[in-house]
Amino acid sequence: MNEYKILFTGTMGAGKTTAIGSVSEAAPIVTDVANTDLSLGKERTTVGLDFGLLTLASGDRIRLFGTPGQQRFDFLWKILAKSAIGLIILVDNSRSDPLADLVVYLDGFAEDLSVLPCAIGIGRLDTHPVPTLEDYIDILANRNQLVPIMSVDVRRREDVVLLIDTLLAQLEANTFGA
Amino acid sequence: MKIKKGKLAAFFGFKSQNQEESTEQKSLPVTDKPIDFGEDIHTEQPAVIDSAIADSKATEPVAINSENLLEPSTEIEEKTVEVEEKATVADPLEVEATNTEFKMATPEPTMDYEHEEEHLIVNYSKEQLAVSEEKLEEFMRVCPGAYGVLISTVDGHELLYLVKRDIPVHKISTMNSSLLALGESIARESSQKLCQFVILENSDGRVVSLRINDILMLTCISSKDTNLGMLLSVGRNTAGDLMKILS
Ligand SMILES: Nc1nc2c(ncn2[C@@H]2O[C@H](COP(=O)(O)OP(=O)(O)O)[C@@H](O)[C@H]2O)c(=O)[nH]1
Ligand SMILES: [Mg+2]
Repeated sequence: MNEYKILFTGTMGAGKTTAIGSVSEAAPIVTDVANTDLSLGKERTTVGLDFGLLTLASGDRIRLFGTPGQQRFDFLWKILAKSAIGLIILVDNSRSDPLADLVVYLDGFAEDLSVLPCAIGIGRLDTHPVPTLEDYIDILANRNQLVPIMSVDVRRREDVVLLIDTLLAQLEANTFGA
Repeated sequence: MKIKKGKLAAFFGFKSQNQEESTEQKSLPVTDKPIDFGEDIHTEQPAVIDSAIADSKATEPVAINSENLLEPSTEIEEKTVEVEEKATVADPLEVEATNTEFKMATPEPTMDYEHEEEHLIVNYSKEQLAVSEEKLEEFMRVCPGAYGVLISTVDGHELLYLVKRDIPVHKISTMNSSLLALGESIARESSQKLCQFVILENSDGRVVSLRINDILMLTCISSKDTNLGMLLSVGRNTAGDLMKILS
Protein backbone atom coordinates (compact mmCIF):
# COMPACT_ATOMS: atom_id res chain seq x y z
CA MET A 1 0.00 0.00 0.00
CA ASN A 2 1.28 3.39 -0.96
CA GLU A 3 0.39 6.86 0.22
CA TYR A 4 0.41 9.76 -2.18
CA LYS A 5 -0.06 13.43 -1.70
CA ILE A 6 -1.99 15.43 -4.26
CA LEU A 7 -2.32 19.19 -4.14
CA PHE A 8 -5.37 21.17 -5.30
CA THR A 9 -4.88 24.79 -6.24
CA GLY A 10 -6.66 27.51 -8.22
CA THR A 11 -8.43 30.82 -7.68
CA MET A 12 -10.53 31.53 -4.66
CA GLY A 13 -14.00 30.11 -5.20
CA ALA A 14 -12.89 27.66 -7.90
CA GLY A 15 -13.88 24.83 -5.56
CA LYS A 16 -10.71 23.42 -3.95
CA THR A 17 -12.34 23.07 -0.53
CA THR A 18 -15.52 21.66 -2.08
CA ALA A 19 -13.57 19.18 -4.24
CA ILE A 20 -11.66 17.78 -1.28
CA GLY A 21 -14.86 17.60 0.75
CA SER A 22 -16.58 15.73 -2.13
CA VAL A 23 -14.14 12.83 -2.13
CA SER A 24 -12.66 12.73 1.37
CA GLU A 25 -13.60 9.70 3.48
CA ALA A 26 -13.06 11.39 6.81
CA ALA A 27 -14.41 14.83 7.57
CA PRO A 28 -11.97 17.15 5.80
CA ILE A 29 -9.85 19.59 7.74
CA VAL A 30 -10.85 23.09 6.78
CA THR A 31 -9.14 26.34 7.73
CA ASP A 32 -11.62 28.78 6.27
CA VAL A 33 -12.14 32.17 7.92
CA ALA A 34 -14.25 35.23 7.15
CA ASN A 35 -13.34 36.73 3.79
CA THR A 36 -12.89 40.52 3.87
CA ASP A 37 -12.29 41.03 0.15
CA LEU A 38 -15.44 42.50 -1.38
CA SER A 39 -14.02 41.97 -4.85
CA LEU A 40 -14.13 38.24 -4.23
CA GLY A 41 -17.81 37.81 -3.40
CA LYS A 42 -17.51 34.93 -1.01
CA GLU A 43 -18.24 34.63 2.67
CA ARG A 44 -15.37 32.42 3.77
CA THR A 45 -11.93 31.73 2.44
CA THR A 46 -9.17 29.21 3.07
CA VAL A 47 -6.11 30.80 4.68
CA GLY A 48 -4.31 27.67 5.83
CA LEU A 49 -4.93 24.43 4.04
CA ASP A 50 -7.58 21.87 3.22
CA PHE A 51 -6.93 18.24 3.97
CA GLY A 52 -8.80 15.07 3.13
CA LEU A 53 -8.13 11.35 2.68
CA LEU A 54 -9.19 8.96 -0.06
CA THR A 55 -8.52 5.22 -0.34
CA LEU A 56 -8.35 3.80 -3.86
CA ALA A 57 -9.59 0.34 -4.92
CA SER A 58 -5.93 -0.72 -5.03
CA GLY A 59 -5.66 0.06 -1.33
CA ASP A 60 -3.42 3.05 -2.03
CA ARG A 61 -4.23 6.08 0.03
CA ILE A 62 -4.35 9.58 -1.35
CA ARG A 63 -3.76 12.52 0.93
CA LEU A 64 -5.52 15.50 -0.59
CA PHE A 65 -4.26 18.95 0.22
CA GLY A 66 -5.75 22.26 -0.90
CA THR A 67 -4.05 25.66 -0.97
CA PRO A 68 -5.48 29.09 -0.32
CA GLY A 69 -6.31 30.68 -3.68
CA GLN A 70 -5.07 34.23 -3.24
CA GLN A 71 -1.60 34.97 -4.50
CA ARG A 72 -0.53 36.58 -1.25
CA PHE A 73 -0.54 33.08 0.23
CA ASP A 74 2.01 31.82 -2.27
CA PHE A 75 4.44 31.15 0.60
CA LEU A 76 2.06 28.30 1.48
CA TRP A 77 1.88 27.09 -2.11
CA LYS A 78 5.58 26.27 -1.88
CA ILE A 79 5.26 24.57 1.47
CA LEU A 80 2.21 22.55 0.46
CA ALA A 81 3.69 21.48 -2.87
CA LYS A 82 6.56 19.72 -1.09
CA SER A 83 6.41 15.96 -1.56
CA ALA A 84 3.25 16.16 -3.66
CA ILE A 85 3.16 13.68 -6.53
CA GLY A 86 0.83 15.76 -8.61
CA LEU A 87 -1.05 19.00 -8.92
CA ILE A 88 -4.69 19.66 -9.76
CA ILE A 89 -5.54 23.18 -10.89
CA LEU A 90 -9.16 24.28 -10.67
CA VAL A 91 -10.44 27.21 -12.70
CA ASP A 92 -13.74 29.05 -12.29
CA ASN A 93 -14.98 29.88 -15.78
CA SER A 94 -17.44 32.44 -14.43
CA ARG A 95 -14.66 34.84 -13.42
CA SER A 96 -13.71 37.82 -15.54
CA ASP A 97 -10.53 36.38 -17.04
CA PRO A 98 -10.26 32.68 -16.26
CA LEU A 99 -7.50 32.15 -18.86
CA ALA A 100 -5.33 34.62 -16.97
CA ASP A 101 -6.30 32.89 -13.72
CA LEU A 102 -4.92 29.62 -15.05
CA VAL A 103 -1.66 31.30 -16.02
CA VAL A 104 -1.24 32.59 -12.45
CA TYR A 105 -1.07 29.02 -11.18
CA LEU A 106 0.93 27.66 -14.10
CA ASP A 107 3.49 30.35 -13.30
CA GLY A 108 3.19 30.10 -9.53
CA PHE A 109 3.86 26.36 -9.65
CA ALA A 110 6.17 26.43 -12.67
CA GLU A 111 9.02 24.80 -10.78
CA ASP A 112 6.82 21.99 -9.46
CA LEU A 113 5.14 21.53 -12.84
CA SER A 114 8.48 20.93 -14.52
CA VAL A 115 8.68 17.64 -12.59
CA LEU A 116 5.11 16.88 -11.47
CA PRO A 117 2.10 15.69 -13.46
CA CYS A 118 -0.90 17.99 -13.50
CA ALA A 119 -4.58 17.90 -14.37
CA ILE A 120 -6.78 20.94 -14.92
CA GLY A 121 -10.49 21.10 -14.12
CA ILE A 122 -12.62 23.93 -15.49
CA GLY A 123 -15.75 24.62 -13.48
CA ARG A 124 -19.05 26.29 -14.43
CA LEU A 125 -18.59 25.73 -18.14
CA ASP A 126 -22.29 24.85 -18.31
CA THR A 127 -23.36 28.35 -17.32
CA HIS A 128 -20.27 30.15 -18.68
CA PRO A 129 -19.29 28.42 -21.94
CA VAL A 130 -16.66 31.02 -22.89
CA PRO A 131 -13.69 30.63 -22.88
CA THR A 132 -13.97 27.11 -24.20
CA LEU A 133 -11.77 24.11 -23.43
CA GLU A 134 -10.07 24.76 -26.79
CA ASP A 135 -9.08 28.24 -25.63
CA TYR A 136 -7.40 26.70 -22.59
CA ILE A 137 -5.69 24.07 -24.73
CA ASP A 138 -4.31 26.86 -26.93
CA ILE A 139 -2.82 28.60 -23.93
CA LEU A 140 -1.18 25.39 -22.76
CA ALA A 141 0.09 24.57 -26.25
CA ASN A 142 1.65 28.02 -26.54
CA ARG A 143 3.47 27.36 -23.28
CA ASN A 144 4.50 23.91 -24.45
CA GLN A 145 2.64 22.33 -21.58
CA LEU A 146 0.72 19.17 -22.31
CA VAL A 147 -1.74 18.92 -19.47
CA PRO A 148 -5.05 17.05 -19.53
CA ILE A 149 -7.93 19.46 -19.12
CA MET A 150 -11.60 18.73 -18.52
CA SER A 151 -14.89 20.26 -17.52
CA VAL A 152 -15.78 19.52 -13.91
CA ASP A 153 -18.38 20.18 -11.29
CA VAL A 154 -16.43 19.78 -8.07
CA ARG A 155 -19.63 19.18 -6.15
CA ARG A 156 -19.89 15.83 -7.94
CA ARG A 157 -17.71 13.12 -6.48
CA GLU A 158 -17.25 11.33 -9.84
CA ASP A 159 -15.85 14.48 -11.44
CA VAL A 160 -13.23 14.91 -8.74
CA VAL A 161 -12.33 11.22 -8.83
CA LEU A 162 -11.89 11.50 -12.61
CA LEU A 163 -9.46 14.39 -12.11
CA ILE A 164 -7.47 12.35 -9.60
CA ASP A 165 -7.49 9.28 -11.88
CA THR A 166 -6.23 11.37 -14.76
CA LEU A 167 -3.38 12.55 -12.61
CA LEU A 168 -2.49 9.06 -11.43
CA ALA A 169 -2.67 7.70 -14.98
CA GLN A 170 0.13 10.09 -15.94
CA LEU A 171 2.22 8.85 -13.04
CA GLU A 172 1.79 5.26 -14.16
CA ALA A 173 2.66 6.19 -17.72
CA ASN A 174 5.80 7.91 -16.46
CA THR A 175 6.76 4.93 -14.30
CA PHE A 176 6.31 2.45 -17.15
CA GLY A 177 8.10 4.73 -19.57
CA ALA A 178 11.16 5.01 -17.32
CA MET B 1 14.70 54.16 18.03
CA LYS B 2 12.31 54.36 15.12
CA ILE B 3 8.70 53.43 15.23
CA LYS B 4 6.99 52.88 11.95
CA LYS B 5 3.25 53.11 11.86
CA GLY B 6 0.87 52.31 9.15
CA LYS B 7 -2.61 51.66 8.13
CA LEU B 8 -4.54 51.25 4.96
CA ALA B 9 -6.48 54.24 3.73
CA ALA B 10 -8.89 51.74 2.27
CA PHE B 11 -10.24 51.29 5.74
CA PHE B 12 -11.42 54.86 5.75
CA GLY B 13 -13.06 54.57 2.39
CA PHE B 14 -11.15 57.54 1.02
CA LYS B 15 -7.79 58.60 -0.29
CA SER B 16 -6.02 61.92 -0.28
CA GLN B 17 -2.65 63.52 -0.83
CA ASN B 18 0.46 62.75 1.10
CA GLN B 19 0.85 65.07 4.03
CA GLU B 20 3.74 66.15 6.16
CA GLU B 21 2.81 66.29 9.75
CA SER B 22 4.48 66.90 13.01
CA THR B 23 2.86 66.24 16.29
CA GLU B 24 3.64 65.31 19.82
CA GLN B 25 2.75 61.98 21.19
CA LYS B 26 0.40 62.20 24.09
CA SER B 27 2.02 61.39 27.39
CA LEU B 28 -0.06 58.61 28.80
CA PRO B 29 0.88 57.02 32.09
CA VAL B 30 0.96 53.29 31.71
CA THR B 31 -0.89 52.62 34.90
CA ASP B 32 -3.52 55.21 34.21
CA LYS B 33 -6.23 53.67 32.09
CA PRO B 34 -7.25 56.05 29.34
CA ILE B 35 -10.85 57.01 29.00
CA ASP B 36 -12.76 54.03 27.73
CA PHE B 37 -14.28 54.99 24.42
CA GLY B 38 -15.42 51.46 23.91
CA GLU B 39 -19.05 52.03 24.86
CA ASP B 40 -19.43 55.29 23.01
CA ILE B 41 -17.90 53.90 19.91
CA HIS B 42 -20.03 50.87 20.16
CA THR B 43 -23.20 52.87 20.19
CA GLU B 44 -22.29 55.94 18.19
CA GLN B 45 -19.63 54.78 15.78
CA PRO B 46 -20.53 51.38 14.42
CA ALA B 47 -18.15 49.82 11.92
CA VAL B 48 -18.77 51.53 8.63
CA ILE B 49 -19.52 49.05 5.92
CA ASP B 50 -20.68 51.49 3.29
CA SER B 51 -17.79 53.48 1.87
CA ALA B 52 -20.11 56.38 1.10
CA ILE B 53 -20.79 56.73 4.80
CA ALA B 54 -17.09 56.55 5.48
CA ASP B 55 -16.55 59.35 3.01
CA SER B 56 -18.87 61.65 4.86
CA LYS B 57 -17.18 60.80 8.13
CA ALA B 58 -13.83 61.60 6.63
CA THR B 59 -14.69 65.26 6.36
CA GLU B 60 -15.51 65.54 10.03
CA PRO B 61 -12.82 66.71 12.39
CA VAL B 62 -11.24 64.09 14.58
CA ALA B 63 -13.10 64.42 17.81
CA ILE B 64 -11.21 62.11 20.07
CA ASN B 65 -7.62 62.78 19.28
CA SER B 66 -6.77 66.42 18.78
CA GLU B 67 -3.30 65.48 17.57
CA ASN B 68 -4.67 64.23 14.28
CA LEU B 69 -2.57 61.14 14.42
CA LEU B 70 -4.71 59.68 11.76
CA GLU B 71 -4.62 62.11 8.87
CA PRO B 72 -5.64 60.50 5.62
CA SER B 73 -2.90 59.99 3.11
CA THR B 74 -2.02 57.68 0.27
CA GLU B 75 -3.09 54.10 0.05
CA ILE B 76 -0.72 53.01 2.75
CA GLU B 77 -0.09 55.64 5.31
CA GLU B 78 3.12 55.42 7.21
CA LYS B 79 4.73 57.63 9.74
CA THR B 80 8.10 57.43 11.31
CA VAL B 81 8.54 58.30 14.90
CA GLU B 82 12.00 59.39 15.84
CA VAL B 83 12.80 59.04 19.47
CA GLU B 84 16.00 60.46 20.83
CA GLU B 85 17.39 58.16 23.40
CA LYS B 86 19.30 59.67 26.27
CA ALA B 87 22.37 58.09 27.77
CA THR B 88 20.90 57.75 31.18
CA VAL B 89 17.23 57.22 31.08
CA ALA B 90 15.38 56.73 34.29
CA ASP B 91 12.15 55.94 32.62
CA PRO B 92 12.43 55.04 28.96
CA LEU B 93 8.70 55.22 28.62
CA GLU B 94 8.69 58.86 29.55
CA VAL B 95 11.35 59.69 26.99
CA GLU B 96 9.42 57.89 24.35
CA ALA B 97 6.34 59.82 25.30
CA THR B 98 7.94 63.25 25.21
CA ASN B 99 10.68 63.35 22.57
CA THR B 100 8.57 62.22 19.73
CA GLU B 101 8.37 63.53 16.25
CA PHE B 102 6.18 62.14 13.54
CA LYS B 103 7.40 62.05 10.00
CA MET B 104 5.96 60.64 6.85
CA ALA B 105 7.98 57.73 5.58
CA THR B 106 7.90 56.62 1.98
CA PRO B 107 5.22 53.99 1.58
CA GLU B 108 6.37 50.40 1.52
CA PRO B 109 6.90 48.95 -1.92
CA THR B 110 3.48 47.76 -2.93
CA MET B 111 2.86 44.16 -3.77
CA ASP B 112 0.83 42.64 -6.59
CA TYR B 113 -2.22 42.08 -4.52
CA GLU B 114 -2.31 45.67 -3.33
CA HIS B 115 -5.37 46.52 -5.39
CA GLU B 116 -7.43 44.03 -3.44
CA GLU B 117 -7.20 46.21 -0.35
CA GLU B 118 -9.62 48.71 -1.88
CA HIS B 119 -12.42 46.25 -1.64
CA LEU B 120 -12.13 45.23 1.97
CA ILE B 121 -15.28 44.82 3.99
CA VAL B 122 -13.79 46.24 7.16
CA ASN B 123 -14.16 49.97 7.22
CA TYR B 124 -13.72 51.75 10.51
CA SER B 125 -14.11 55.40 11.42
CA LYS B 126 -11.13 57.64 12.10
CA GLU B 127 -12.15 57.74 15.74
CA GLN B 128 -12.13 54.00 16.06
CA LEU B 129 -8.74 53.77 14.43
CA ALA B 130 -7.34 56.60 16.57
CA VAL B 131 -8.37 54.90 19.78
CA SER B 132 -7.12 51.57 18.48
CA GLU B 133 -3.77 53.13 17.69
CA GLU B 134 -3.55 54.40 21.25
CA LYS B 135 -4.08 50.84 22.44
CA LEU B 136 -1.24 49.66 20.24
CA GLU B 137 1.01 52.41 21.58
CA GLU B 138 0.07 51.42 25.09
CA PHE B 139 0.93 47.82 24.31
CA MET B 140 4.37 48.88 23.09
CA ARG B 141 4.96 50.95 26.20
CA VAL B 142 3.90 48.26 28.64
CA CYS B 143 5.96 45.53 26.94
CA PRO B 144 9.54 46.84 26.77
CA GLY B 145 10.66 44.02 24.47
CA ALA B 146 7.83 44.47 21.99
CA TYR B 147 8.89 45.69 18.58
CA GLY B 148 5.80 45.01 16.54
CA VAL B 149 2.07 44.90 17.05
CA LEU B 150 -0.37 44.44 14.19
CA ILE B 151 -4.11 44.40 13.81
CA SER B 152 -5.03 42.48 10.69
CA THR B 153 -8.01 40.71 9.23
CA VAL B 154 -8.23 36.95 9.80
CA ASP B 155 -7.69 36.50 6.07
CA GLY B 156 -4.42 38.34 6.20
CA HIS B 157 -4.77 42.05 5.43
CA GLU B 158 -3.08 44.43 7.84
CA LEU B 159 -5.34 47.14 9.22
CA LEU B 160 -3.20 49.07 11.67
CA TYR B 161 0.27 48.44 12.98
CA LEU B 162 3.24 49.78 14.90
CA VAL B 163 6.68 48.34 14.23
CA LYS B 164 10.03 49.43 15.59
CA ARG B 165 12.07 47.25 13.26
CA ASP B 166 11.96 46.80 9.55
CA ILE B 167 9.63 43.85 9.31
CA PRO B 168 7.46 42.98 6.31
CA VAL B 169 3.99 43.69 7.66
CA HIS B 170 2.19 42.34 4.58
CA LYS B 171 3.89 39.00 4.93
CA ILE B 172 3.58 38.87 8.69
CA SER B 173 -0.16 39.57 8.45
CA THR B 174 -0.75 36.96 5.80
CA MET B 175 1.40 34.28 7.39
CA ASN B 176 -0.05 34.78 10.83
CA SER B 177 -3.58 34.51 9.47
CA SER B 178 -2.61 31.06 8.18
CA LEU B 179 -0.96 30.18 11.46
CA LEU B 180 -3.92 31.23 13.56
CA ALA B 181 -6.35 29.33 11.33
CA LEU B 182 -4.13 26.26 11.52
CA GLY B 183 -3.80 26.61 15.28
CA GLU B 184 -7.55 26.84 15.62
CA SER B 185 -8.11 23.76 13.50
CA ILE B 186 -5.40 21.82 15.33
CA ALA B 187 -7.16 22.66 18.59
CA ARG B 188 -10.43 21.39 17.12
CA GLU B 189 -8.84 18.18 15.82
CA SER B 190 -7.27 17.60 19.24
CA SER B 191 -10.74 17.98 20.73
CA GLN B 192 -9.73 21.06 22.64
CA LYS B 193 -11.94 24.09 22.84
CA LEU B 194 -11.18 27.71 22.10
CA CYS B 195 -7.70 28.44 20.72
CA GLN B 196 -6.61 31.45 22.76
CA PHE B 197 -3.10 32.09 21.48
CA VAL B 198 -0.77 30.78 18.85
CA ILE B 199 2.69 31.19 20.32
CA LEU B 200 5.93 31.03 18.38
CA GLU B 201 8.81 30.63 20.77
CA ASN B 202 12.10 31.53 19.11
CA SER B 203 15.66 31.68 20.45
CA ASP B 204 15.57 35.44 20.72
CA GLY B 205 11.92 36.36 20.78
CA ARG B 206 8.30 35.43 20.49
CA VAL B 207 5.45 35.98 18.10
CA VAL B 208 2.00 35.66 19.61
CA SER B 209 -1.21 35.73 17.59
CA LEU B 210 -4.73 35.88 18.90
CA ARG B 211 -8.19 36.72 17.74
CA ILE B 212 -9.85 40.09 18.38
CA ASN B 213 -13.22 39.11 16.91
CA ASP B 214 -14.70 37.22 13.97
CA ILE B 215 -12.80 39.19 11.37
CA LEU B 216 -9.80 40.69 13.15
CA MET B 217 -6.69 39.34 14.82
CA LEU B 218 -3.76 40.75 16.75
CA THR B 219 -0.11 39.80 16.30
CA CYS B 220 2.44 40.74 18.97
CA ILE B 221 6.14 40.50 18.24
CA SER B 222 8.59 40.82 21.09
CA SER B 223 12.15 40.10 22.13
CA LYS B 224 12.68 38.15 25.32
CA ASP B 225 12.90 41.39 27.31
CA THR B 226 9.23 40.86 27.97
CA ASN B 227 8.43 37.53 29.54
CA LEU B 228 5.83 35.24 28.05
CA GLY B 229 3.27 35.70 30.82
CA MET B 230 3.42 39.45 30.45
CA LEU B 231 3.21 39.27 26.67
CA LEU B 232 0.19 36.99 26.80
CA SER B 233 -1.66 38.97 29.41
CA VAL B 234 -1.02 42.37 27.82
CA GLY B 235 -1.81 40.88 24.42
CA ARG B 236 -5.09 39.50 25.69
CA ASN B 237 -6.05 42.78 27.34
CA THR B 238 -5.19 44.72 24.20
CA ALA B 239 -7.24 42.33 22.06
CA GLY B 240 -10.12 42.67 24.52
CA ASP B 241 -9.97 46.47 24.35
CA LEU B 242 -9.77 46.36 20.57
CA MET B 243 -12.75 44.05 20.42
CA LYS B 244 -14.83 46.73 22.12
CA ILE B 245 -13.43 49.55 20.00
CA LEU B 246 -13.67 47.79 16.66
CA SER B 247 -17.02 46.11 17.12
N1 LIG C 1 -23.40 26.56 -9.36
C1 LIG C 1 -22.19 25.98 -9.27
N2 LIG C 1 -21.51 26.13 -8.14
C2 LIG C 1 -20.31 25.56 -8.04
C3 LIG C 1 -19.73 24.84 -9.11
N3 LIG C 1 -18.51 24.42 -8.71
C4 LIG C 1 -18.33 24.89 -7.47
N4 LIG C 1 -19.42 25.57 -7.04
C5 LIG C 1 -19.60 26.24 -5.74
O1 LIG C 1 -18.57 27.19 -5.63
C6 LIG C 1 -18.10 27.28 -4.29
C7 LIG C 1 -16.62 26.97 -4.23
O2 LIG C 1 -16.16 27.27 -2.94
P1 LIG C 1 -14.87 26.64 -2.29
O3 LIG C 1 -14.86 25.18 -2.48
O4 LIG C 1 -14.79 27.16 -0.91
O5 LIG C 1 -13.75 27.29 -3.19
P2 LIG C 1 -12.18 27.44 -2.89
O6 LIG C 1 -11.96 28.87 -2.58
O7 LIG C 1 -11.51 27.05 -4.18
O8 LIG C 1 -11.83 26.53 -1.77
C8 LIG C 1 -18.92 26.26 -3.51
O9 LIG C 1 -19.97 26.94 -2.87
C9 LIG C 1 -19.42 25.31 -4.58
O10 LIG C 1 -20.63 24.70 -4.21
C10 LIG C 1 -20.49 24.69 -10.31
O11 LIG C 1 -20.06 24.08 -11.28
N5 LIG C 1 -21.70 25.29 -10.33
MG1 LIG D 1 -10.94 26.97 -0.02
